[in-house]
Amino acid sequence: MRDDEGAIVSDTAHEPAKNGDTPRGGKDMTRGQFLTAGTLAVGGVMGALIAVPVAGMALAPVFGGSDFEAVFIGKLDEFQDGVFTKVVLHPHSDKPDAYVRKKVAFVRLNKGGKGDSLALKGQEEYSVISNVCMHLGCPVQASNAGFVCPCHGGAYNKDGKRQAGPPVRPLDRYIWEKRGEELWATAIYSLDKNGHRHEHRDPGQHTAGPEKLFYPLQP
Amino acid sequence: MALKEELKYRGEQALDQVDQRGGLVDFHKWFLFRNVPAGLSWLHTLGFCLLVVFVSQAITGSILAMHYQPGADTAYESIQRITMEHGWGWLVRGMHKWGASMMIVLMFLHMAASFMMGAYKYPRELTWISGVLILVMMLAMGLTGYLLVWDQRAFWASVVAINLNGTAPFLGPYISEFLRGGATYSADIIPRFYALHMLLIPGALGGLIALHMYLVTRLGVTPAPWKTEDPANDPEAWS
Repeated sequence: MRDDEGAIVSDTAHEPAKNGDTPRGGKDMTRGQFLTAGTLAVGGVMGALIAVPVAGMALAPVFGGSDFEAVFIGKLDEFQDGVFTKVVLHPHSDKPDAYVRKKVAFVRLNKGGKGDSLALKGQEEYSVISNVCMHLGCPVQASNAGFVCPCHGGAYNKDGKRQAGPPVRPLDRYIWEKRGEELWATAIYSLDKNGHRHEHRDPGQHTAGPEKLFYPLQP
Repeated sequence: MALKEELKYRGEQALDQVDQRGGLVDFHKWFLFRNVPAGLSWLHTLGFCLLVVFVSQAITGSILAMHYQPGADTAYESIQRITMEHGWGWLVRGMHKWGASMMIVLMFLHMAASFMMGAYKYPRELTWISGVLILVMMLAMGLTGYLLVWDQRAFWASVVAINLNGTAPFLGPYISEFLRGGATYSADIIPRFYALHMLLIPGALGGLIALHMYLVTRLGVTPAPWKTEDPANDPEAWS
């Protein structure tokens, strides 16, 4: 607009731009705002193009599921009633790092299907117990009363149930099946103190009690 | 002019040119020529000790990386060769191994001293937070580096440490699976830990340490709590 002498005192072309209403009822934006938003959007796309595949590759092993394959335990006549035999399992023996994948299990025949307080239905005849301590994963050793862990003093009874020390649940077990004259392990599972089967999980994670709520999901 | 004065003049000219182009001389003056409060003690040197040990770890680690071969069949032998055969390998490896323990000890001392002196209070909250993140990253460095020796102790210590991570609530199982690289242990864990130890965590540490040191330089050293006068009123509090 002009003043009394005709000089321009305000001029819509030179006022600072601000968002206003467009004639059709929308909101407009300045060129600067549009370009800023556009740059951020393109930058975001570029970042995602790099970050998403990389994050996917880094996290893929977490969601890959278990690669457990059936593994030979031993011949049926090696195992004695009421006494544990220590057996080394060799899963994935074709792989060059098979020596890293070795596992150890304690195997006991239970004649008459009795003598194992934690056995699953249909699995009473043999007890195939993992040697991984349920505190932090040290290998347990057999003792007079069951098993003991040398690392932090965890103690288990003959069925692998925790008796003393920091372990949080009974020793993991393998699901076994007979193939002819051989005993094979087809799955590994975790149990709670009543022998109920749970999804296999790492040592230190509870399967019973209030702490169980801390571990609702397993990868 | 005499030779000494000529050299001094030339040196100053050179620095001037660098400073005009990059401001580097000004930056160094800002970083190194600082005022610190009066009455400081040896405890205040712990931060710089940590920096020195970190640089030593980075340099010794880089040299070790030239000879270490990550892989289930080659890792242990390559370290044997470093220790026994390569010139001064035993010394550099020893510096790296003992430096790692020194980092942990110094970090806890530095953390305790900063806490006891109240150096985490306003305006230094970010300094403390970045320091805690550095602590976590450094512990992760210790964890990942320990496995690389690939002997029995290294393997089983890593098994226990991974299981420890797994006991964290809710996300714990995912953290341990991420570290292990799957549901079971395999030889793939060596390159995984090697990449973490060499690339990912040092990258994060570089940024965090730079931030930490920038904040310390900008905000100044905390006056010692055993000075009874209020530093704001004491003209001699800052020397």
